[in-house]
Amino acid sequence: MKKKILSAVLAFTAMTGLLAGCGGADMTADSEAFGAAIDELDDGSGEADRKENGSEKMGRFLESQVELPVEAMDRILCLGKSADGTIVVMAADEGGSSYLLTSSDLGESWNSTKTQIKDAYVTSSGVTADGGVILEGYFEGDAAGIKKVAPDGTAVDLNPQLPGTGDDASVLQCGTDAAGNLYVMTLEQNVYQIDTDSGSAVKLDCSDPSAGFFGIAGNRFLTVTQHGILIYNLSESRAEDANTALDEAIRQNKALAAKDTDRGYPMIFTEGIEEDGVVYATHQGVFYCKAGAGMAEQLINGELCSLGDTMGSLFEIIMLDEEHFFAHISDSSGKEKLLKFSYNKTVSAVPEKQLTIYALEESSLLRKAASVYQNGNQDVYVKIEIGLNGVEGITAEDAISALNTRILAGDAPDLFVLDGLPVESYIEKGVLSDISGFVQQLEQDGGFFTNVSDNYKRDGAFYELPVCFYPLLVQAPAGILSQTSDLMSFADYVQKASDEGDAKVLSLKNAHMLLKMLFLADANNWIRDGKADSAQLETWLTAVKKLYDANGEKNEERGTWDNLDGYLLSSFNEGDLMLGDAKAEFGTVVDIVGFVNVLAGQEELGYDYDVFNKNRGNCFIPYLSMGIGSSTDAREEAEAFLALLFGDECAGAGTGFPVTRKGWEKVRADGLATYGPDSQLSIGAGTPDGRHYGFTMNQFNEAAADRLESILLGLDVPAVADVSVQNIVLDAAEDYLKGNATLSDALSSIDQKLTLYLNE
Amino acid sequence: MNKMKKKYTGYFFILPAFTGVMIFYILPFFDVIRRSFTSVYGGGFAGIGNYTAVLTNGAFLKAAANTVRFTLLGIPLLMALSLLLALGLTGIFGKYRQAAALLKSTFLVPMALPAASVVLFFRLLFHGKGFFNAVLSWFGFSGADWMSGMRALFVLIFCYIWKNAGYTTVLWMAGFAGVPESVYEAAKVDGAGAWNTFWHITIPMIRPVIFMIAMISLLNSFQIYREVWLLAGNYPAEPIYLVQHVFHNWFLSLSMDKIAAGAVLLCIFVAILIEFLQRIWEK
Repeated sequence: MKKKILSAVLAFTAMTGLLAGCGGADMTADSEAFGAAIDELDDGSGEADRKENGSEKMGRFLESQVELPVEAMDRILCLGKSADGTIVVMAADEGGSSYLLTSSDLGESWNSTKTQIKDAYVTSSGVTADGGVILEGYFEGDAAGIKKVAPDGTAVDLNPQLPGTGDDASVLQCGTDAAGNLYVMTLEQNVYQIDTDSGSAVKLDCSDPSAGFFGIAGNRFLTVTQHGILIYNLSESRAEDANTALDEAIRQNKALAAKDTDRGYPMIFTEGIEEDGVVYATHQGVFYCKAGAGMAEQLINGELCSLGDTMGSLFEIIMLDEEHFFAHISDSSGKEKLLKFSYNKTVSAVPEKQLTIYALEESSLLRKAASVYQNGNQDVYVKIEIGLNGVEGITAEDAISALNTRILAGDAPDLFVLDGLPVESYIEKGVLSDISGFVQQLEQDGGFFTNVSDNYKRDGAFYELPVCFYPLLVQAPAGILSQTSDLMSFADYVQKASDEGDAKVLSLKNAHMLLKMLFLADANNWIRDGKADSAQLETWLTAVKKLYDANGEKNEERGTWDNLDGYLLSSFNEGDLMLGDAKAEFGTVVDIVGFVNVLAGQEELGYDYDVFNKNRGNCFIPYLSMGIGSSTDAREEAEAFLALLFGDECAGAGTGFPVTRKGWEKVRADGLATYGPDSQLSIGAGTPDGRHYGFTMNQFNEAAADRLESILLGLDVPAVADVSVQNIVLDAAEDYLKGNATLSDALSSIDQKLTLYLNE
Repeated sequence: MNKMKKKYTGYFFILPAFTGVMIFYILPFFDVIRRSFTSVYGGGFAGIGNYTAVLTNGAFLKAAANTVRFTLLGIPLLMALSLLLALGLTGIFGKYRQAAALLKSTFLVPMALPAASVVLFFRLLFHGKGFFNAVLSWFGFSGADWMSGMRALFVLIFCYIWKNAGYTTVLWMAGFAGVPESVYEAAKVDGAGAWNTFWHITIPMIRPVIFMIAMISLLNSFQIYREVWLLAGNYPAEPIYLVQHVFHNWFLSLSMDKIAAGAVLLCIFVAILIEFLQRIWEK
């Protein structure tokens, strides 16, 4: 008997071992992904930060926006402080006039002086000891140069007598030190100190050919390179030892050393309170580095303030005392702000409430909303978790597995961005809650494009709603579109033109992009509840093949960049039409700028445009589908966040057109103001072989706005969003397109796999 | 006191391992059983609903049938092939024992190789322009898509045998080594031939080893999923769509209830299979 019991126990152990073994083998990747996700969760904002020695850790810098006394302020040209500690700001209004603003009471009140500077486009600047400013950039008449503005507003040209020639005579950036001395870096990365009276230049021994830009922190000149930050002591004219913490910051994020815009920097500096300290700010926050310290100390968490808006830019930062910082930044919409950070020791170090938002992919609109929400609700920590956060090897599947593990462990996010997630399953399993109340609220507050929103009503309830949506448009010579209003007839037209010897019919698209766009445009016709209609699928594959073959071997010429799914977000390529490299183009149009490009094609070439594949249903692509987790204990905050995301403030900041009517009205009005008949904006581009095109962007008039609105109102079928279905179809179709499988093989493979998927 | 000490000493030795097994295998398995009777989210009692859902699920039934077919084809083939290898090597290396020991070690290499490297190797073999199709074209045959249709099952069995043949061969050879030489000598004196010796002496004497090899091969057949998944993804050709694919895909759609019920059913099936094999063996 004993033997039997022992045998039973051993057999049971072996069996459970077997099952655990099965799971263990295929879950390796998931575990790794989950591990990465946990690391991310622990990063700086966990419970450890909230509690210290059993009691709550207190004290945090709170952000506020400083209102500058400039009517219709357009941009800030300079921020710094004079020798006596006065804050000096130079700002320009929408008319191009600029004002020198000074404050000696932490930005509570300002003295304003109108300057002689007009229509300036400033790329770098500095403040002099007496409270004047030095500006480098383009001034009236597009003249590049450096100007010195005195505290009384008078401006004079500075003509640095740079000894070099060519690139070494052109200024890349300028800046001033604590004493107001001027330094410039040339395009050859040489650094000179300039005498502001005579213009004479003295070369400093802190050049580096790999320098991207520089910063000045008090008396330290910091040359930012891909290898680290070179420190030069300006008062002692000598190079200093490397600051390990600064170098470590660069080592961990090489992007901090790459300045890829003419205005703004990935990393900005100011002096610390202590002699050897340097303060720097990035989108991750504000950090303090003491010489000799291995790690920088985070003073302000970027995620808790506007610095975290990764689509915005950083310009300058100053530290007035241990408890006050001022920073000049712009947000993702380009709006420039002067921010004040004041230390408040009575608030908790990390906000007590947390609103966790999960998204599979990064979104500038989400970041903007989080930043705005964070500013208005400093007692709530908005934590955005991105599944595909750039960690090497993480796939969407790994990210979803990690998310599901968290959900099962009772750690579900409060808010979900459902793009790419298994929405139906989440609804079925009760992960998402009904947001009908919130939707009703929005309905009363101006309403929706119901042609879009009604698609998300399930048994009278809403579990998700996209913030934006966008169409696929097609443009072709007049008369063609009326005959090619579905995918097959369009493919026939392209093939016929190609067969007749016209090598330039369609804009180049590689197999991946072509398939993805055409899947979104047509799949809703042949996929119902996960099952494919074989006859319609065959027609689709045949049409796709015709379009792919029309470009012959050139299809893959575009290289790898348009393999990125991000390219899909604005894939209508007007350039190829304008240059005559294509006679027809189709793609996604996600904003007014994209639509103005289409209008320009109409005006310049006389081409028509319409919804692509119109006769097969007016399909729209949703963006940022939001849902609230059913287990959230921050429902109020989640709804408030959604109200902001769907509200006017975020309208037009993201990909696609707002689903709310009020949001659309704002986008329309902004579009008419910016790209209307009075617009002077123009765009131009060229090719390596010397061809170029350009046009004025002023075609968005009332009639065009009405037409776009009628297009948006006509979109009533969401594109098939199921990622598994998409992958199954696209994998087999790509093999067919590239000749690795026959049509019947591709059809059979898709049918077989979709059947399995459906049966699951 | 000394008697007590003696009596319980053994238990203390197995306590660490037993604790680990309890924590990492037995208790989680009881949790799986619990989950198989509850809903995924909220944990409400679901009765036998999850079992009904699994047993009426087309994908699970298809995958289970595929898994059984693969097991029935793969295990006998593996055992037969490794037996032949073991016999050959025992005969050849009976005289060269050092070389045999070295070769035995190399047999275990496929089990130690990382799955990702192995999959890369198999991709080179079975790609449309890979090694196998190249060989076929040298002989004037057209290539084939090895990862579609029933050919994919061949690839799966090939992977399974490639990975496990060496290890199983070593097990066979260990079994042979356990048969006393004197028994063979006595049979020789009685005039038994090679076949008779093998059939009437070797096989009966290594019967427990054969049973163990069959069990290990069965367990290893579940482990091959990792390579298949890396090779063909979530939705491979239908013949190699195994129960682990279903479990993996169910996890992605958060169907933990169905996974739990499916795992319990699979466990019961394997238990019955082992019991069945054991009874046959005992007869």
